[in-house]
Formats: sequence, structure tokens, C-alpha cells
Amino acid sequence: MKSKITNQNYGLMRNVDHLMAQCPLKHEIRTTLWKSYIQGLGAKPIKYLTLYSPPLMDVKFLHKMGFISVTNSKYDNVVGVSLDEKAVADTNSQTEHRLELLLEGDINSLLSNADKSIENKKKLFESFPFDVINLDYTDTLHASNKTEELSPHFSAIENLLRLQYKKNKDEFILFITAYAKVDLYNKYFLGDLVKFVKENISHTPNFSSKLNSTFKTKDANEFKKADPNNFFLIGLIKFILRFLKPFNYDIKSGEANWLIRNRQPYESRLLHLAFHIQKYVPAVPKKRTYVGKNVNFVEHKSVRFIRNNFLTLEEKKDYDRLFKLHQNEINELNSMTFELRTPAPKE
Amino acid sequence: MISSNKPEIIPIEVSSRILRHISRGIYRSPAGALKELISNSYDAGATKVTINTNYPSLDTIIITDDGNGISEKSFRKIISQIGFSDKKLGETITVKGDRKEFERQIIGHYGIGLLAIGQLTKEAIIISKTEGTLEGFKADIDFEQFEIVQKNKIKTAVIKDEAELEKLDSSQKAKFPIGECTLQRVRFDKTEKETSFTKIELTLIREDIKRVIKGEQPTKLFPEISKQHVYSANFEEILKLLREKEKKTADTKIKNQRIPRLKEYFYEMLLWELATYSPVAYPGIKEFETDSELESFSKEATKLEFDVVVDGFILKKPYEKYFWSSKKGYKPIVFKWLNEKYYKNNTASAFIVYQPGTMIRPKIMQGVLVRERGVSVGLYDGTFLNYPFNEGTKFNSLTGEIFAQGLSGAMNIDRDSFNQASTEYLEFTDWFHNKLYKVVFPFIKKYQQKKESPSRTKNQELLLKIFELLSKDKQKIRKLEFQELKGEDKKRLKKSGNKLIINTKHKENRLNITQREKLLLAISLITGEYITTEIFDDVSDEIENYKSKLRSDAKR
Repeated sequence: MKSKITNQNYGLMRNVDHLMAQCPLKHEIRTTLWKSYIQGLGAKPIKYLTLYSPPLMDVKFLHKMGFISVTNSKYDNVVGVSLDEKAVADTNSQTEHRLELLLEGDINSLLSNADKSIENKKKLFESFPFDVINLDYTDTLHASNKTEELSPHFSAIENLLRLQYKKNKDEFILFITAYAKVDLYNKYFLGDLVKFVKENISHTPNFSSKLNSTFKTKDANEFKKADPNNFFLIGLIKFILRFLKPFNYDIKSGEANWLIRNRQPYESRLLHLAFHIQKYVPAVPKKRTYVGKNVNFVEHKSVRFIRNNFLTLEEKKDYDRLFKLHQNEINELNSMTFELRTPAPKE
Repeated sequence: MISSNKPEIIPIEVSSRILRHISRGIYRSPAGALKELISNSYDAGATKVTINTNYPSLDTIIITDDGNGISEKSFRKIISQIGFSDKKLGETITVKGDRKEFERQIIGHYGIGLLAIGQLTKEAIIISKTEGTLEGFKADIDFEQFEIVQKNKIKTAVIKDEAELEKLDSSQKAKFPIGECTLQRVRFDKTEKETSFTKIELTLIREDIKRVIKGEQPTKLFPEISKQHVYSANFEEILKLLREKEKKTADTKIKNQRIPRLKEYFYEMLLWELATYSPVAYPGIKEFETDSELESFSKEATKLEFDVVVDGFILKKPYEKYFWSSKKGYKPIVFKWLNEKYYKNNTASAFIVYQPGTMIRPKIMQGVLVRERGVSVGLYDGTFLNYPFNEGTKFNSLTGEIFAQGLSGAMNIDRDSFNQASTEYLEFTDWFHNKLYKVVFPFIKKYQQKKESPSRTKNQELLLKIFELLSKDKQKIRKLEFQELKGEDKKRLKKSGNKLIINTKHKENRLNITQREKLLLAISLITGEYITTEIFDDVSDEIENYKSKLRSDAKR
């Protein structure tokens, strides 16, 4: 079933996008997590796929850092996907240069067979592969009202991995951002996560012992109840890693950052995931007599994410400190539009 | 009724209906109205003007310039009396350029910029500030000839019904109100004392303007093209898109498909028009750089130090690199004239580019463009200012620009066309036609005689090969087919029964539709046979008619 975003949702998402664009906590994630992962790729300039979020702070920031080049008044090798006419207009008007390619549509449906815009789909497919893919979603990855087995978000992740693989991309960075409030997720999806964690506890001794030493639990359901956020993080990573295996991808490194918006009446949590993905190269067997299959056990690497020290940024705790640190740069990036800057009259 | 023999003096006045009509818009297109606002920025000494159309949503259009700004006093005069202007014809202003100050001759003097705004939007906000003060003004403008309607829950402006408007015209007023303006003084931060600017926000764009820019008006005829937004990364890509679209259209003609022409790309055409109209620089390609034939024209345009950026597209005069490349083995030929007097002390400079053996693409560039103080008056004129002789297809291979001085008085109010019955214009066209008659066309004729067009040679060669084959074989050809013979790249022709196959895999056999028609006509005329093809059934009647005409001519 095609994911349907109503006009009302568009408005909401725009507001969230706008908030996040100006947010010093988000900028901290740009300047630490995203920057360090892109640096780790060692490629300059990069080919970059990004989602709608005017004023495209990520593109401007990466350009400032030298990861994105500009020639002939365009950001080279940057492909953006914007939801609708208005989003396309905003994206264009709030940047200093134009993107190499800007497509109107929902990334999830453009990457699946659901979208009827053949022309845009074709252009997106042709622009693969990318060095960095930034799925900076501002909603849940599998909402409670979605009935399909694999949500449009996960289908999109699977499809883009397929496209990277088809275009022989051996190494790239994948950023995934999503709302991580467990109550907002589909119950069957959460059931799957419990199942995966349960399997790992019973079949992978490493997983079981690390979970026990870090979170003092050996039961998936109990873990979900006692620490839903960390349960969700580990389960989700395991779920995503499962997508890598069919395309023979492995992870070189991975990281997670929490962004907690708790200055508003309803607390919301955004989970920022970063993966350095590379082609799986089987290790050379120690004994030459070994004739078994070389299997890519990428899922087992979810053990690495059993930690309770991921960077957690909270509005209540960190906003003022990060505001001081990043405000100048945020203002600078915000004002980078093609329009002439004019002073605003005093109130 | 005249009551006595005493002569009576009666004032001649303009009806309010006429004023109402003028106030609703005098510009041919949205580009024409935007051009007026760009011209105003130019006259305000701006070096940069940005236009943000917010395409494809077109919710608001924002025009910002770094010119001298408007004082509150001047603005009061402008709104209270549209058509009033402090600007005088031929006046110059001082521009703060990148490196030094320089003088710029202004281009407008009617003071009708507000009419351009009124043609595009119902509501607008103007904020402006002059240098050396912390005060400026903010004006909220509302034009009364529009009404607001809701379309898909979105507010949009449509023009009021003509009959409704006429009810308002009955009053006999010395001045004619077309809207309201709420003016307020505003203060800026002390760090902005030396800043000057004007920002115009068109906040409620007319529905019809949106339709024109988006190209939604031919929806009924061509529903399939109603919503084609093509993304272009920069202005060069737009020029390429417009050129290639024509090629695609020409190619599709072969398959007998009916597809809309170049103007399918309405938004791109708007940008092309603005680039053509505006006094912006030529693109940085070698034909316009130092020591090139057109260097002097490029220098003049660069000297104006005026940039126009629309939706992030940096507009340049619309010449692509491709334009100057060799086509069919021939490079474009340039004719130029510098600072020649055409009437009294009025001078003109011009260049004409001839592309031998091919037509100028995109077609909208065929013709000549007249610029007065760098700003074009209308678009490329394919009649070459009504050149009195027929030069056939040679016109299609020519393009050029004339930079004239002294034509301001001959321009119509929208600055899009000339009053053809003005002395300056008549003398100017005489000067230009003389150049075409004595220099350009004689050169082209000689050039064409000297070097046959490669396409004609290609056709002749193929024709000779066909006759060579026919002379060896007595069997008549009844059918001609263009077919790709796989694996036979080097074979030009193949005979199969009474059918002759022209192998399109052979590079010399790749003929366009006109070349194919000509080839068929030639074979048919020479052999005297009726030949059919799957493609040219529709032209066989024409061939027969042509043959009978030749026969009757011969008899006579």
C-alpha cells in the first residue's frame, strides 16, 4: 500500500523541518556525527542524496566543510527529493545555489513501484550510486496505523541498498533519522523487534552476555518494558542490518545519537543513526583445508550497539550551551540564499 | 449643441474606462511586467536584482535590488500619480560599481512600475530605504480591480468582472483610483545606515499569471503536457532544454506524432525572455571574450555591471557554447558594425551571425533583437524589422542584435515595440536594411554558390548511387524503404525484388525528413515512375501534382 501523506501532515512536517533546521542540537549532530562519518569515507567531493528540509542546512554545511563543490552556480552531485510543489519552491529559494537535481515526490514511493511519476523515478534511479545518503526522516519508520508488513520507509531503505549494489557501490555512508517514540510504532513491527532480540539472546552468547552486563537483562520482553528506548535502538539496528546481507554489504562502523526535545509539553525523541557501509570481503581462512561457506554475519554486529553511552542531546540540558556554540554558524548558513540580503525593519 | 456662432473650446479627455483598462495591465506577458521592475532596479542604480518566483508554487514573487532605494517623499508622488516620474529621458545616475563609481544612462521615464505590479498581483508590500538614513518606508498595496477567491482552500486573486468594473467608471474624477496603499515609516538598525535597497513582495499573485507561468492554459487541448515541470540546475541547462526540445519535436514528426512545440516549457521561456530583455552580461564563452570578434559588445554589456538572478539562475544573454560550434562542417560567420550614425547624432552598433547550412536553434532566436541602452525592445524579430525583400530560408540562418541610441521616443509605452511611423525608427530601419541588402545577403549568396551545402551533397551522392544501381538492373523500383540493415554498416543500398532498401545503418544515409522528401521527389521525377514508401504515401499526391505542373510548364 502506498504511504499517503496528507496536506495536513505536510504542514506539520514543514514546521518540524523548520524547527530542526534552526535547532542547535541538530547542528551539533551535523558537526559531529555526520561530519566525522563523511570524513571517514575519505572522499571529496561527495555525491550526496538528501531529503526535503529547507533551508537545506546539511547541504550548505557540507559545502562549507568542502565535501560538496559548487561549479557554474550549482551544488555538484547533490540530489534532493522534495515532497511537493511548495517544498520544491522552498528548497530552491532558500539556497545560495541550485542542486544538481531536485525531484518532486516522496522518496519512499519514488524508490518503490508506487509512484506514477516515471520521469522522476527514472532520474532518481539514474543518479545512483551515492557516497552519502541522508534519510533525515521527521516521522516514525513504521507508524502504528500502517498495516503493511514492511513500511514504506523500510522498503525505501531496502530499495536504495539494492540500487547502490546494482551500481557496484562498494563503500558509502547511510544516515537514518527517525522519531523513536516506541508507542507511536506499529505493534507487529515491535513484536518483530522482540523476536529478533529474543533470537539473539538465545543463539548468540556474545549478545546475551553484553546485554546482561550493560542493561542487566536476559529477556527481550522485560528489556522492552524496562528500557524501551534502548530496546528500540538495538532492535531497530538489528532490523536495518538484516537488509544489508542480501546485497553482500557489511558495516565498517556505526553510531547512534539521541536528540530529545523536552522543552515542549510532549517530549519527543529523534534517533540519528550513522552507518559506514562497505562491501563484505570474506576473511582468508586460517587453515587451508577449510572448505565451508564464507557467510556475511553482518547482523551479529548489532552487538556493537549494546551500549548505554551513546551521545544524548537534550533541549533542557544542552540547548543554551549549543546555542552559544552554533548560533553564528546557523545564522550564516540560514542567510545563504540567492536572494539579496536586506535588513528587516525594527518592530 | 452649439448655441451661437461664437467658437467654443471643449477639453478633450480620456474616459475613465480607458484608464481602467490601462491600469489592468499594458504588458504582453508576465515577463514583460517583470522586465519593467528589472528596468526600475536598473534605473535605481542597482548592480544586482534577485527575483524569487517560488516556482512551481508561485505563492509569492519577491523582487529585491541593491539600488539607491526610494525616499518616502518620492514614493508618495509615485502612488498618488502613476505616470509621474522624476526621471528624465537621457538622464544619467551614479552607480557604485564593484571597483569604482560610474555613470549609467537610465532607461525608463514614464513612472509606471506600479502598473507592472498591478498586472501581476492583487496585494504587494514594498519596503525601501535610501543611503545615509535609518528610516525607510513600508507600503502595503491593494489593487481594487481584483477579487479574492478560494481555490483548493488557497486564496488566489482573479480579475473582477468587466461589467462590475464599469459600474465604478461612471464617476468623473481628475485622478483615477486603482487601489489603496497603507504607508508607514519604518526604522532600521543603526548598522544599516549606509544600506540602500528596495524589496517588492507580490503576495497575492493573480491566478491567470500563475497559469501562464506554469503553462496550464493549453490543458484542454493537450492534457498530457499540463504539469510538466522540468528541473534545471543552471541557466545553461535551460538553454539546452529549449534547443533540444525543438530537435526532439523535429524527430518525433517522423513518427507522425503530434506533440506541442517549444513553448511547452513556459517557465523556462519566462527565464529566457527575462535574460533576453535584461541588460545583463554575455556568457563567459570564448566568442565574447578578449580578442574575439564580439568583444566590444561583450565589454559594453559587462560595463553596465548589472546582474539578474531569478530563482537562483544567474541570467546571461542566451547564447550557448553550442551556438558557436561547427554545424554540418561550417562555423558561424559574424558581421558587425560599430557606432555608425543612422540619424543625426543617433548611433547604432550591430552584429549579425550567419549559420551556413543550418537554421538558428532555438527558433526563437531567429531574427534580430533591438536594444535601447542595453534593454531589448521586444524579442527577436523574424521579419528583420520588416525587411522588404524575400530572402527565403536565409532568414532562418540569421540572428543578431542591434544596440541603438535615440530610439526611446519611438518606443511604445510597454517598451515592447516601436511606433513604426516615427522618423528615428524609419531612419534606423533604413540603415539596418541597407546593411542586410548590401553586405549580408550578397555575402551569403556568394558563399552558398562557392560551397554547396553538405546536406545537398549527401543527398546527391545517394541519388547517384541509386541511379548507378538502377542502370545496372532493368527491373523497375516500385517501393522505397528506409531500413536499418543489421550488421551491414557499410552497405548503402540493397535491392529486394521491386523494393529498394536504403540502409539507415550507413552513416551517410541518415537523412532528415526534408532530405528524404527531396530524394524521393528527385527519383520520381527522373525515372518518371510512381514510387511509394511506407512513410511518404502522403506526399505522393504532391509529387504527382508537381510532375504534371512541370509537364504543363514544359509544353508552354
